[in-house]
Amino acid sequence: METTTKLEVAPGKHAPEDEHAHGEQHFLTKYVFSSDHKVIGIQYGIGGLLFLLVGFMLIIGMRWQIAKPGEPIPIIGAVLEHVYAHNNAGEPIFKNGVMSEDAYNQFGAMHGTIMVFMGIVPLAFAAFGNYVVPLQIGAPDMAFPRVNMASFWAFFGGAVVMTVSFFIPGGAAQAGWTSYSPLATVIPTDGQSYWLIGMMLLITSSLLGAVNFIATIIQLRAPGMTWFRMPFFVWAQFVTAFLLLLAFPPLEAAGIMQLMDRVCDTSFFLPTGVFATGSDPMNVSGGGSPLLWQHLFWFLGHPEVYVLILPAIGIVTEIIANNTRRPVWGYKLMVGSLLVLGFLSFIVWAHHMYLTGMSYKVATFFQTTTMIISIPSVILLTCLFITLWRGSIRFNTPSMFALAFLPMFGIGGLTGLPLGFNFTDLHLHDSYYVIAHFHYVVAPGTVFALFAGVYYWFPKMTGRKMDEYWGRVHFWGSIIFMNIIFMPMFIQGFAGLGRRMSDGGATYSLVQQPDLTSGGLPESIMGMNTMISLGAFGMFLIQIVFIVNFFHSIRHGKKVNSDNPWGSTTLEWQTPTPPPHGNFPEPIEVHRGPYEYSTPGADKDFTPQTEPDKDEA
Amino acid sequence: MIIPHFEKPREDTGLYNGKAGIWIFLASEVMLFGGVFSAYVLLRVGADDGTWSMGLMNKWVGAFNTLILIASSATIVLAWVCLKLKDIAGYRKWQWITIVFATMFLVVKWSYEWPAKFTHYDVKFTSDAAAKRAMGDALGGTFDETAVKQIWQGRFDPGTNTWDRVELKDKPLDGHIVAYIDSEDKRHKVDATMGFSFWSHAIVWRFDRKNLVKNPDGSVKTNTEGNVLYKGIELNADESLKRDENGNVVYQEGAIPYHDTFRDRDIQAIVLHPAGNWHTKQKEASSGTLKFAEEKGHTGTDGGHGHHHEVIIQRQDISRLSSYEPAHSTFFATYYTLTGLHALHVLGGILVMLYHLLPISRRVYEANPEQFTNRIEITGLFWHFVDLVWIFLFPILYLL
Repeated sequence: METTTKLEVAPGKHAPEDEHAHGEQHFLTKYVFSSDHKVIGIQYGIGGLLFLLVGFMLIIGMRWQIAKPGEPIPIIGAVLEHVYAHNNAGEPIFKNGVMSEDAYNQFGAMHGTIMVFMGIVPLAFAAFGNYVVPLQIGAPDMAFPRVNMASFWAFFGGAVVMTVSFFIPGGAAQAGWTSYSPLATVIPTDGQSYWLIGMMLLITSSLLGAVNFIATIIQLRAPGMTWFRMPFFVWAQFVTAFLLLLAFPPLEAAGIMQLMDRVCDTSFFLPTGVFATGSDPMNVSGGGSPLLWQHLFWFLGHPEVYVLILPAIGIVTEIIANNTRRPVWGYKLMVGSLLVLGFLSFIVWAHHMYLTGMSYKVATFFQTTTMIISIPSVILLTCLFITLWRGSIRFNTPSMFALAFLPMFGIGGLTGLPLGFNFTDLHLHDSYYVIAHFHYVVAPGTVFALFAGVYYWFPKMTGRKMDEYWGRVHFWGSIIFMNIIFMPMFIQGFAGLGRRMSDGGATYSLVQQPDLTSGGLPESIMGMNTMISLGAFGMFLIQIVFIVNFFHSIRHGKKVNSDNPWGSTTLEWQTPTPPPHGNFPEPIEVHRGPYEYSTPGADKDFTPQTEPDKDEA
Repeated sequence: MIIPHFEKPREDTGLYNGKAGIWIFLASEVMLFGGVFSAYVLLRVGADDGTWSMGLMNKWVGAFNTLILIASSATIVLAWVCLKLKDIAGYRKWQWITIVFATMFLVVKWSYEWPAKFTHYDVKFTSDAAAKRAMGDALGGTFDETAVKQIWQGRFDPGTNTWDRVELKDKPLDGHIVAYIDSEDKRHKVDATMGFSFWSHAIVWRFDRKNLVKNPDGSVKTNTEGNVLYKGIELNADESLKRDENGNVVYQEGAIPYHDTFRDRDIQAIVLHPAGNWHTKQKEASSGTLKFAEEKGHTGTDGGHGHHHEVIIQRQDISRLSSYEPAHSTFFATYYTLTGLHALHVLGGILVMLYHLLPISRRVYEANPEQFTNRIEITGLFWHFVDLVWIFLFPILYLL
């Protein structure tokens, strides 16, 4: 095979990738407008963490309103009254510091949008993928460094548009992160249009990233890095990139059509005779289909769930193999499951739409595929559990987060089954049960895996470890508060508490009317609102520990004494710390699979992928 | 640092990076257009009777555009072949020809096909009687159901039969608006090449949803003149609109004016020149015994449809008036979205091809001919895709 690590400069190749250009790079090209995958990865990482925090702050505000409907938010409320947008009548949306219904809807819609599209995808896929994938396959950079830079700046533009939308007249989008039409079309503020334009930029960013990842993994693997010698994390990113590549464009198409509906008054998603408010039919041609939006949205929406979870499973797999000092059990089985999962995720989307009155035959098809897709998910989780079996597990912060991922994701996955059957979904649809279910998947699931990844790869990026003691405080606090927050929501959902109610269901449950004998929710259910809100606030306090630890450790963390502090086999640890421009100073060659831990007869308990076989040497 | 395989193919895949990248990118493009195509299928299957305008497009213009786009797909291959043969002059020639073809495509679309539609109006009526009166005028004085049916079927249901299922008042009369008549019976000429200006022409059928004045029951408030009321408009004591000396509506200080062309220009009736198909039927039916005298030169240009007899339609007879703009129907919404998205891809292709003719690209060629040839190959792959999309668009929008 032609060597992939030729380092001589080809004729006609210009800066910025030029060999002799770096070292004296300008600050702007090195750290801001960089085309180096490691810098872009860190940019995405900081952006993603920042928006996870923003999304979290939004929900803290909403939890206040749920626990104490109609009461002014202390301190912050007064600030928001002046800073936040005014509504179309010219009054502050946070009048007297109280979160109005509009504000609640805006925070809710933007919480989902920010967490999914500006928090987790940039962090799990773009940040870790950018930083780690080229290193793990032995590539000097991504296949298209400048496309990579364009991807980040498209993300940046989308993030700016989304953020600005909070401050325009009328405020941000308020039709939920799913933006169902006709509601999203007829809301008479401009937030939804900003949302659509922001989404198009974010989608463009993801598409450019996905093209780059796939091309990089196909084209730039180092000599000897065959497909089945790739670490599982690379496989996970590979499948994720395909999901983004093929599932996002239909949402972009839908976004264009909804924007046409809002700007050019077309009727893609407005049926004939639709009424907006009052008694007059809207003056549009009609003939559109609200279901079309739902189909196009969930055609992205469901693969998106796997976009959120697959990189997380990839991170967890790396960390578990490393910290149990055992090869991953059933590596090929896991890769196969991953591919099946990726394929099936495209044909389950309508299980989000059982309540639209679809034909029972269609519902049967989608609930069948939904049940089938749980099989590869269970295989992945089982393989990881078997890997733990009889391993001598090292308990450090990354491994604890990774281990906690397994049962938490398990709860999230298994509670999804009742939602996948259309008859049980009838009761549970749009209740707090749904919220609890998908948050168990992405909050103590994906987000824990992301924390694990941050703690795990931090030494590679900075040469220092994050503080172990405060890492454990962060871990134990997070896992306790996560469960205080989400476990009661299952119970509330079973009891029939609906989601998206700006007073936390107070009006609905009519607890204020004790003489009501039926139809309301008991105080035992409604009282959980306060407990959950307290849990969310505790969760926030614990995250401060992480933020301080993160920034403090960049300069003052314990220095690592080698390039491979965790004793890992994969290629990213076989380079200097942090890796130089071009990643590998010497041409590298791969001789073995990714998880050769505790190999009998080997002199160490790990054998790096670069180490030649003894008889070869 | 050099990215491996940026010009030479990798052995096991047979691709250089750019070629791998463009194929992956095109896969996402398939899904993007696939999203809108699926919308086309779903909306067309679910369309109400008589709302999916089949047979409105000029298929010869579409065929011409198809032809030049296919030709441009061939010429860009020739440009690439010339580069492979190190014939830079040949490359420049064919690349320019490709750009010319592509530009012709856009010129036809953006200076002829689209603008012609923006000035072509459909009128629907509030009652069958009003429809009969106006259609009768369009046909030269007598309402002829057979003639109207033929026109209708030509536009809305070749091969099916929805005639009986759609009320006459919901069957549109189409043509150009050449003038309007105000409340003092004064006639104002409208430049038919522009219609009412692009954004304000849709008249009452656009509500400024934010600022409508509502009755207590939530319905939209209208005054005694039949005008929809908006916040910020100055009213006289009897709730009629206050107008300045030019007849324009007066707004309160600081209010954002909202344009309702009917109200602002005090339009009581529109003067319509029916489109050519009504004209033909009228000639067949009345064989020259015309009710109205020809009014040559009276109403200005009429968009190349020849001279017709004007039809005056009172404001209260109109239930919906819309040009062939995106808001006209889901058909036109889909048409503009699909062709617009495609045209943006054509425009992007033109920009890339122009970039490859700049001196900066010449320097890339001189430094590394193989890299430059690869770039042209990739451009060609993208261009073939754009061409292929049009090959799907032409039949579904023009022929089916």
